Amino acid sequence: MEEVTNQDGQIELDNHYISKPLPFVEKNGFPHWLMALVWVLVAFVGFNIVGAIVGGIGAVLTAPDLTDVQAIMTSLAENVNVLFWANTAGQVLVMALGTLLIVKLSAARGERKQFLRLQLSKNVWQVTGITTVLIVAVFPTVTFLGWLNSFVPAPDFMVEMQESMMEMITKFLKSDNALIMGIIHIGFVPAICEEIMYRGYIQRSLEKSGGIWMAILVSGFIFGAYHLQITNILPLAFLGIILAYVTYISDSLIPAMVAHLINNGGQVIASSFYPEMLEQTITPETEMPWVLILLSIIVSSALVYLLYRMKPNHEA
Amino acid sequence: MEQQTLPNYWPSVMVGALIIGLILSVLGIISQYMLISSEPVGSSFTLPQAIQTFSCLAGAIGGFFAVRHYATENEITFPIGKGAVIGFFTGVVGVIISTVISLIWQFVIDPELDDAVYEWAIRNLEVQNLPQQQMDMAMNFIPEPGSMTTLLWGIGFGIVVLGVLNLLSGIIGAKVFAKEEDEF
Repeated sequence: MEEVTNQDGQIELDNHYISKPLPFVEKNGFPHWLMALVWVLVAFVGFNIVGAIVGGIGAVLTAPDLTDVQAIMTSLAENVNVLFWANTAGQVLVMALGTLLIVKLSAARGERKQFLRLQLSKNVWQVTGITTVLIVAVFPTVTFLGWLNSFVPAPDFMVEMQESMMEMITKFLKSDNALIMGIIHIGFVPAICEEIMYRGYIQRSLEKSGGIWMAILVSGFIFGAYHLQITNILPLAFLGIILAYVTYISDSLIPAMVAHLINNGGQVIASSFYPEMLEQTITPETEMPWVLILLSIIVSSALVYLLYRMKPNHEA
Repeated sequence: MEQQTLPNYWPSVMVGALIIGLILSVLGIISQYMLISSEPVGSSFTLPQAIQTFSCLAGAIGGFFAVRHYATENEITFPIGKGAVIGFFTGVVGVIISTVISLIWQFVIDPELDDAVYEWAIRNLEVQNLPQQQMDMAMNFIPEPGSMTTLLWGIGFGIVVLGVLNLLSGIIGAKVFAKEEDEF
C-alpha cells in the first residue's frame, strides 16, 4: 500500500485520506505555552532532586563519618567535583533526556526532531560561523549589561548563594584536571542539555502559542531567570535571546550549541590562564571600557542584521 | 476536526480566584495571630505554620470550582487542556487577590502584625541556641516585614505553587464536569 503525504498534511493511502494523529497536547486542548511553563517548573524541581541524589551519593562515598553532618558538608566543600557531577547528572537526565520524553506529548511521531530543531538546515554552517563571531563580539555588551544589573538591589540570601556558587566554581577551576573537567561540566554539558530544553522545547512551544518574537524574548528571559542569579539576570537573559535568535534563523540547535560552548568553554579556558579573573566582580564602581562597548554594540548589531538576511524567507 | 468556539472563561476564573484569595488570606491572617500569641519554643514547624501549609493545599480547589462553574454555567464540554488553563489562571489571580487583601490588612487594619511576626521568628531562632554563623544564615531567610523583595518573592512563589496546583485541579475538574460525550 503506497503512502503519500499531500499538501494539506493528510496521509493518502490508495486515494483514501486519513488525518495524521495529533499529539497529546493538541488532542486534549493544552496550549503549548502552558506546557512550556509547566516543563520549566517540573524540570527545575527534577534537576534539584537529581542533583541532591547524586550529591548525596557523592557525600556517602567521600565523607569519612556519615553520622556527622558537619563532616559531610566539609567533605562536599572539599570535593567540589562531586557537586559538578551532580549538576551534570541533573542536566543530562532532566534537561536533555526529560525534554526528549516530554516532547512526545507536544509533537507527533516523526515530527519530534523537527519540533526540537534537532536537525541540520540549509544555512546551518554559515549561521554557526557568524554566530561564533557574534558571541565573541557581544562579550563587552554582556559585561555592560552585567554592570547595569549591579545597580539592581538583590536580597542578601541571593547574593550569598551566588557568592558561594562562585567560590565553588573558583575552587573547582583551581583543582587538578580543571581544564578538561571544566570544559566537560561547564562547556559541553550545558551547551547540549540546556539548548535541547530552552532553544529546543521551550522556544518552539512558546513560538506555537505566541509567535517567534515572543518566543525569542520569553525563552531568553526564562533562561536568564532559571540560573537563579538575580545579579546576573540581565546578561544571562540577553545571551538567551541571542541564542534563541540564531536558533530561529538557522532552524537548528547547532549554532546555539556551538555559541553556548564557546561562551562557557571560553571562560573556563580564559580563567585557567588568568585565574585572577575568577576573583573579579562587577559593581556599580567598576570602570567600563566604553569605547569597546560601543564598538561591540555596533559590530553585534551588524552581525544580527546579517543573520536576519540569512533567514531563507528574507533572502528575496 | 470541528472547531468549537468556547465562551469567555474569565468570569469563572474570577469566581475560583475569589475562593482561593479568601481561603489564603483568611487562613493566613488567622495563623499569623495564632503564631504571635504562642510562645516560641524553637520548633521550625508549628501549628500556625501547619495551617499555612494547609491553606496552600486548600487553595488548590479554586481551579476545580472555576472549571465546574464554567462547565455548568455554559452547559458545554471541553478538553482537559482548557481546564488546565482555567485552573492555572485561577491560581495566578487568586494569589494576586490574596496579596491585595493581605496588604490592606498589613497597612490599613493592623500595621503592627508583620513586625510582631518578624519579632516572633527572631525569638524562635534565639531559643534554638544556634552557633552565631548558623544564626546569621537563618536570619537571612526570615522575611523582613514590609520589604518589596519579600512581597515579590511571596507573589512569585505563590503563583508558581498555586498556579501548578490549580492547573492540576482544573484538569480534574474538566475530567469530572466537562467530559466529552462518547462519539458513535
